[in-house]
Amino acid sequence: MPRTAVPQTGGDCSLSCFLLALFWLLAVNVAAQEPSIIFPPTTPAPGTAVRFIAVPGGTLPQAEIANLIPSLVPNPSADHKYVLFVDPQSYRRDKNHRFDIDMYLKPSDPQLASMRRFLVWEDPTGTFADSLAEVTAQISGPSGLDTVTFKLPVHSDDSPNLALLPIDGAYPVSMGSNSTVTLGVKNNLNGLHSLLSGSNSDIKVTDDDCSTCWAGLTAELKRSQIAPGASASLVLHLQPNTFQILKRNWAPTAPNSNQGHLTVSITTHSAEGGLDVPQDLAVPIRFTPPPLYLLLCLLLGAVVGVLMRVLLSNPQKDPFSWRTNAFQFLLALLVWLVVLALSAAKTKLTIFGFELDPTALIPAGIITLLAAGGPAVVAKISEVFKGK
Amino acid sequence: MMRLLLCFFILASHALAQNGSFSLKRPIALDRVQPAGNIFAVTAIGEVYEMHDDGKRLSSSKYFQLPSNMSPSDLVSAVIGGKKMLLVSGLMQKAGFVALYDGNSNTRLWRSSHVLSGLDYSPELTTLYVASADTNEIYQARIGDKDNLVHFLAEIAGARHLGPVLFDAPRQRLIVGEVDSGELYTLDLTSRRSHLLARNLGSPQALMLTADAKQLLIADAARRTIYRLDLSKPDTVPVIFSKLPQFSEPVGLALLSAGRVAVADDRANAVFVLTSSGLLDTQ
Repeated sequence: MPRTAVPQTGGDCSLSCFLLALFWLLAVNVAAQEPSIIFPPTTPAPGTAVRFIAVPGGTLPQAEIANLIPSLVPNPSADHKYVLFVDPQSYRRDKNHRFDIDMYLKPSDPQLASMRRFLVWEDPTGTFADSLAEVTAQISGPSGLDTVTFKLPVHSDDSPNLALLPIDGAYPVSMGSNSTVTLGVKNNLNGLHSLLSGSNSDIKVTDDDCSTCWAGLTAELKRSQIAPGASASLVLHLQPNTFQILKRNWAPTAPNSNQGHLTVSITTHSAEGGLDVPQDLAVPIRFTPPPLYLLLCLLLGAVVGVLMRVLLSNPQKDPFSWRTNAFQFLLALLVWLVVLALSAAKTKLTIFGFELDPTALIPAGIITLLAAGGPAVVAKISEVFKGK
Repeated sequence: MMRLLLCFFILASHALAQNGSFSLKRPIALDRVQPAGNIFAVTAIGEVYEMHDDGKRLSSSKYFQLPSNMSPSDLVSAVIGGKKMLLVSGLMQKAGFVALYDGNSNTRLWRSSHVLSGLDYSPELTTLYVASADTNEIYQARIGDKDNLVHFLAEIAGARHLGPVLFDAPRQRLIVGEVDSGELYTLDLTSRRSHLLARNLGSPQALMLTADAKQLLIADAARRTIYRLDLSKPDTVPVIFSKLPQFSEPVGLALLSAGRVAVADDRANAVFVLTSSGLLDTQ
């Protein structure tokens, strides 16, 4: 659109310039009295920062102030020039998922007592545990400059809210029947509750290595709110597919070593405006065999051991004796019980260089086989291992 | 399925615009199937509503519920391949998403590592445009592509946190809101260059073009005001279109019949209906 120049005389100019300057000065004065709040960045952890951005939202009508006052938390400034009110009921995530708060600024001077609304947004940088942090606000307005320090929740967008309490070794899981495993989870946050997002049915338990090993996997967090620093039980309900587990875990492994991991996917949020944070908790597990299967392996090992002993013996020197073989059979079972007791007392069982778990099926069978077979069988197997 | 949906629609119908507004818990975005279709709304708690505008009143019914892990930011209704579809953007499992809904079933899902905010769709280009709330970047995805990721389109120089996005079809550009600094930018889709369109707003959270595409309406959540910007003249500034005392945090806009405007207010838990002159429509 073309613009037209306006012709002006010299006298008109001086008058209009004066009026313009006067208007400008008045405008600047009014602008200077327009209250503003600036939050210097808060540092919840080294290398992280939280900026709060306050956007003025205009003056509040008296009727609205009267309704609001009971729910507001007043924070007087250092030199008592202002009171900055925080509305804890306004803590929420806006449509762009930013944490926002309503704050209200009121000069302490009753002559300047108009209350102004500010919409305050949080802008976090870096990963830190959500916490209740001390923040400082610099206020400028009709009563001059002042500062106010108060507590606000600060949130990182992606910090884990929960930690799995560690145990020594892996969690024992029965492979023969339905069982439960109780895990301990701790609230990681400083000064804020951790809350379960959704319900227990939203907690997912998976076994990425062997999904067919399970007929059902569910979890239940015993408390939907965990206080700062507190812990709660996370109970896993497991329905194993015994044959699938046996098929995958037939090889002997060292006691307390992991035979797999279950992944518990849980979503929580911190109280007072935290975002939903999904977490995967890795739970190391070790299978314990069904008692009947274990007994069968023990008996089978002992029978095979006795048979091998009979086959390796010289009938002239050492004639077959039911009594001796029955004794060897029972001795083998006794040896297994002793090994089991020693294992419980943290004694390691090493056979042919392998550390074995006496509660596992194949190692249990090997123990009774060697004990029932006696020195002759052990020597023969050693020969095989040494390649003689 | 359509009959079931219709029954659900009728049974669930619960709200009617009276005295220029009706209650809806935390409405955050509105959109309308142009030129005269129904209006859709999404709430912060993931409820999607369909509204019917009979020219005088707005009636609403719950349409469907988004999955609990989807936290929506924006919603756009569109006719894609002759079907009425909805596009919803937001945050899911710490990452951004855009979901395409045919009826109430999710047929496509695009993901982004960024938090996605404002969303709009170009029927001519069959392309969706979505802004990032945690960067100054705009992404796009073509409906026909098999890819399930949104792709970088351009960045808005000088911006930090982007909110609403509007496809300005007559001018082949996007209009984007900066929610922290209260600025509006245009992004030319050919040159991919951005320019400042308006400043000194509080926090623009929703944008809408009038029927003639000459006026831009801006929902400013911080100032609790709906501004109007004349796009037909250069160097104009936003002027107040509506500043109702009932406004608490206006964050969504949709054009109704006869130039009326629906305003979604997140904190007031209401959808207000304004006349074409910005007054509360109490008819």
